[in-house]
Amino acid sequence: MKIFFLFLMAVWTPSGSTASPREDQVAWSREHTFDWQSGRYEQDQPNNGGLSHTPALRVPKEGIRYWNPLDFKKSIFSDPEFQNRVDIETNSDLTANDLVEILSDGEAFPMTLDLASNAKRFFFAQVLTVSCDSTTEPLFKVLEKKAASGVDVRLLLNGNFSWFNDSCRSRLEKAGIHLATGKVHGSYLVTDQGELMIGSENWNHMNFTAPGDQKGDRDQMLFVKGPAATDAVGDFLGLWESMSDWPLTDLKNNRRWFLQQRLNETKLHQRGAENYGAWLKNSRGPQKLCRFVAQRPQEHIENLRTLLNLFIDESKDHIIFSEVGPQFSLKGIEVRPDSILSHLLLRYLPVDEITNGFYGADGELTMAFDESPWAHWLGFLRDWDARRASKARTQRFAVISQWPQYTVWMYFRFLHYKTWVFDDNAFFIGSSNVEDGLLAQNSEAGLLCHDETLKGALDKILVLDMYNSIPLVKK
Amino acid sequence: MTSKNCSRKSRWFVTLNNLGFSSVMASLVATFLASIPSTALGQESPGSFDSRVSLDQGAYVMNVEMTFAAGIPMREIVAALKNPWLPTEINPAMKVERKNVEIQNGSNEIHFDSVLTLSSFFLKSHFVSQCHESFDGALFKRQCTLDTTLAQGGRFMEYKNEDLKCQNEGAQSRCRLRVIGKLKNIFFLKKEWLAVKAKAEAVKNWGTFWCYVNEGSISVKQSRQCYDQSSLPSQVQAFQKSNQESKDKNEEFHFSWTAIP
Repeated sequence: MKIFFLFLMAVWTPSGSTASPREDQVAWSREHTFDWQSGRYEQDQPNNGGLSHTPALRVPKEGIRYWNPLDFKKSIFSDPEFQNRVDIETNSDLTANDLVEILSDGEAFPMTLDLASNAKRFFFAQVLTVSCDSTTEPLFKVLEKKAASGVDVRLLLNGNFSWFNDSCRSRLEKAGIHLATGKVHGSYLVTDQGELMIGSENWNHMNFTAPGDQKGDRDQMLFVKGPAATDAVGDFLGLWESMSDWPLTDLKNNRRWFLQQRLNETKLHQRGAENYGAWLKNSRGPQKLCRFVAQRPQEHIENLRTLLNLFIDESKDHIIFSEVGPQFSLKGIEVRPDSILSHLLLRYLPVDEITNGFYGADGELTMAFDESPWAHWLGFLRDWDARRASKARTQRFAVISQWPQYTVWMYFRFLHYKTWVFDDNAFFIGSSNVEDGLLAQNSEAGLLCHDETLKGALDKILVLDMYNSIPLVKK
Repeated sequence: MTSKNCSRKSRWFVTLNNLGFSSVMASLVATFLASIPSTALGQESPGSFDSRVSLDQGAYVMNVEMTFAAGIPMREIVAALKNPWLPTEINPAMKVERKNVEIQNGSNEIHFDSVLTLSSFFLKSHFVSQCHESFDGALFKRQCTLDTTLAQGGRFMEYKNEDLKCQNEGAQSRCRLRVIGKLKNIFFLKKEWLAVKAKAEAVKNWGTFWCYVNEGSISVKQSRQCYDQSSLPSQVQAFQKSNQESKDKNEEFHFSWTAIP
């Protein structure tokens, strides 16, 4: 009788209240008017980044998963044949024994310093934006020291976005750090210690000091120790050789290291399709399985786009993803039938997209305005640009929010990370937005993992970030 | 000496010969080295390129055997073979496109038209081949037959067939390619001369391809350098020279290169 009573208590929901915070948020947005001109709700709370509640720093007590838990063993992702197909179509390997840890916002900086300090043979990094400032100074000091001690330090940067002044550049080059620039949008650093940090964070004050509250951006990096790091080394070597003017002989030993390391990992059964059956049928669920993929359009390598499309096509239940949010209309979807967004829309699955709304403004540019010593005088320009960015994004929302089961979540400040969750069983963290034009131009990289620990950590982040967002739903 | 040791001996011979050893000295040292187990030398199955070309009055048979270093996965070899951009990167005068791709239901086989465009001076020539290709994760097969009724196929060639197979053999993956064809005279250019030129170019292209895959498919720029630094360019030169000197001879020419581990 007592058990029956407890059961009744558990399933009974009092009338007038809703079942979950998600439904509360959706109900709120249904009751209020969204202004398509400004890209914000008319009754939003500017002090809370538009939210009807104070932004939470940790998963709120009422925070529950917004999506269904699904059994990996029943998913197609646990099928070795599917993984073989992914190997072939994306020219990548599923690797085992990849220890992963997710790091949010400013948490990535101490780990970046650790990785740099641990490097013995080489330290390679691909980053969009690097600036020489008081925050990045300790990192550059470590790298200079490493280069002086014979460690091969190479940085591949986006020429248009790296705020290097000449003195900073010449200082690093004088210290023996090799620099090259190109159409880079990937974000990772990798060392000979089998350590990799991958995601979307840039090397500057705004990213490395982001405390996770209303300042700075919202970002994620994934720390990996394992064979997936070796594949990042291969990608870096290819990129460096295609983008830089440095002599090729320069990298000969590193190329040999890469091939030998891959061979050793094969011998240790940390890579190789013949192991997939054993890895994927683990009774405790998938553990430490990851796959590194890259996009190098200059060399016609589009493995990242192919990978995301494959996982979208094979998802059966739901997809969650986050991105900056392109500032263009839906015309972009028609450009390529193999674009990520067109695959996503054609699946007609429940989709949650966590992205930027009015309060995300124009991302890095708005943050740069805010940090400028002339912020007060440039306020009008900042606001004009933020409104422009918001309006441009809203054009896309107007179409997408009408799509069946598609929910746009507008984050309360600037969100920068790019994460995908496929059917609760495959997790991707990387650098690429879904903007087709950019994917066809820039190098990108990411890691797709099947890992129970990562699943738990990512759940908390996504629950928190959806709680701190305003949904835009079909009326 | 076992056949395995024989082939190892010949690889060492080629390598030493390229390094400037005299033939006798190279032969003696190669015999000695071949008798030592690979692991004792720190060698880790480095991979090799081997090609045999026979010419006969514009007709040719070309056999290529590409053995890839241990640790190079089959899917990487297949990705390189399927990459439509790679041929142009290896040789800017060449462009390969796939058209009319048909996926066979219930099998892993595809049928397609492969359009090869060769640019020479201001002229572009197109060759259309009908191909079928399959890959089951372990064995890759591709067969192509030139359609002499389409584009410039029949203007330059009597016939051409390509047969490519790649599979794992022990710890290494190996591809075997057999191309048979016959050229026609083009204006004042004799088919015998054209066949030598074409096969010299083919050895260069496949040699660069082998370098690309054997070094982890990292960059084409680097694979061009790998080819240039190998003994293959000098062998190709010798092939061209010997065929200019003795046009009537119908002998098989052997190209061989083993990567230095």
